[in-house]
Amino acid sequence: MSAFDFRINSQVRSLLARHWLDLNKVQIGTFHGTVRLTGKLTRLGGELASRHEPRLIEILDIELRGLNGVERVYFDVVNWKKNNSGEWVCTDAGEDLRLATTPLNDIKTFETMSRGAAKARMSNEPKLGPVR
Amino acid sequence: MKYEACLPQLERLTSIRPTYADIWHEYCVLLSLVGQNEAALAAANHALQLNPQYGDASVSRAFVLAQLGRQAAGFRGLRSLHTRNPDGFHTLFALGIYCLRNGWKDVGLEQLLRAESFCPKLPYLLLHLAAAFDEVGESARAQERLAEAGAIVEALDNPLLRGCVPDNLGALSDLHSWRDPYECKVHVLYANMKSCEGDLPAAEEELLQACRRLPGHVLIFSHAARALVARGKRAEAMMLLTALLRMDPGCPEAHMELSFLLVEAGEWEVALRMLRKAVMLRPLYPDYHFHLGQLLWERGRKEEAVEVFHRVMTIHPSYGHTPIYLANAYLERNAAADAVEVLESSPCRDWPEALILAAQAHIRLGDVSEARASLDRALALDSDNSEARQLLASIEKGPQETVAEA
Repeated sequence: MSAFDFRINSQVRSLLARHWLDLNKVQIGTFHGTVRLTGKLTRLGGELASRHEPRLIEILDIELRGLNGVERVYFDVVNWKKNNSGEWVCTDAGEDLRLATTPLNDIKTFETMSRGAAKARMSNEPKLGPVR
Repeated sequence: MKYEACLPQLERLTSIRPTYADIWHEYCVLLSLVGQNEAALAAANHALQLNPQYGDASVSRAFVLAQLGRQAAGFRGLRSLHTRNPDGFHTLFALGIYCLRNGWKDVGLEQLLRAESFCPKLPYLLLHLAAAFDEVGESARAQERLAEAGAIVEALDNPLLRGCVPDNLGALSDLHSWRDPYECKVHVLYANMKSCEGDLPAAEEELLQACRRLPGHVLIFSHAARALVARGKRAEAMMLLTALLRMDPGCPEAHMELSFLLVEAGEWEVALRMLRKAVMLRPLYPDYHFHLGQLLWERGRKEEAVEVFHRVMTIHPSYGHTPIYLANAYLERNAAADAVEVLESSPCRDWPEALILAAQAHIRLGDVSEARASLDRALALDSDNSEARQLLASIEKGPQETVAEA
């Protein structure tokens, strides 16, 4: 395993952040300098990435290959596919109708919410008191 | 109001992504902010229909109901959320604000104090508490909380936050309207809209201003840190996340984000500490464990790394690259058969990087034809893969050289 895979992952995250891409929806993995992106490439806020950069994958491919230690890059994302002429095309809008909601984010919110569980008190149910 | 400009974008998003509960919630927050409460309620209901467990949407729905004069219905919604999660900081905070908004000041104050017992150093909470004490006529305690918030922020010595806490209670007037705590999402929405327009400085400015308005708010700080990274201001992003951790030491997102930035800065050991803490705070998140395992491996702590990879597989049997890393570890331990087994049963078995690793394992096992088959498959998927090509060429040289190279 390359000594730099974790560092490459960090650099990839920064690079995706520069494109304002949602890091919660894409998984980044690197092994021996081979970077693989899985999940969805979406802009933060839920926007279609293709609306802003129709050539997003080609641009990312060039930029990712320029990172120190990166040997090759694979895009294995569900909302971009290669067409017959080998060009990357965003399939987002059609894909969205079939996909479920974003449960991971919601689960994260709930886990954050239960952070104080260790300090549970005996009576938790709020009672309406007198109004001052 | 400038946030109104986000409405058309969200309207469009709800039509192209109708199954995303978070977008419906954001739409609700924005509609409520611009006074379209009936539409906001419909959006909240839609979010909850998609995900009945969505806490943020339940909170916003309660506030919208209160706006529509249905305080009791709103309270019922919050109470059920509170029953499910009685010690959640965000539930308590929202409940406190809701009660204060509706004039139930004692209960509201009590809930905010409970929230404070979980996160005592959060300046934005202390500011709300100061406003609450002020409202019930306890000026001395109000002033005390205000001073405390100011001292916490000043001690951070962060130029982005300096002076953001006012020194007099009169400056807290906007907090007395006790609005939906998730209204802060509009700052993120506005920043996203600005980024879509290509105006990253405006996006950054919006989020930094929000940080100054809500010091210690995890959502705002995380987005602001990303905005800073997006503009290449890595050191400032690190400072912001460090500040967040000093205010909210139990924030797993900040530990995680900071660990990546620390690795880029070469601070491996601190990054490792951050990752361990993130895992401790969110023990069921496979991605947190995986990153920890990967960093441990790269720092040479291989036994511990393998243990962590096993843990990832227990939580999520096919999580990302874990089977590849585990197979690689087996290969290093001369357990080639185990490596093959892990790879063959994993969903990533057809990735070129997995096929190359499988070929190496087959070579170790003396099964050259299987190795060749794996490499052929890798090359069929990616004909430019030089690693696969080299290994295939070495197979042709003869078994001894091949084993040595593998």
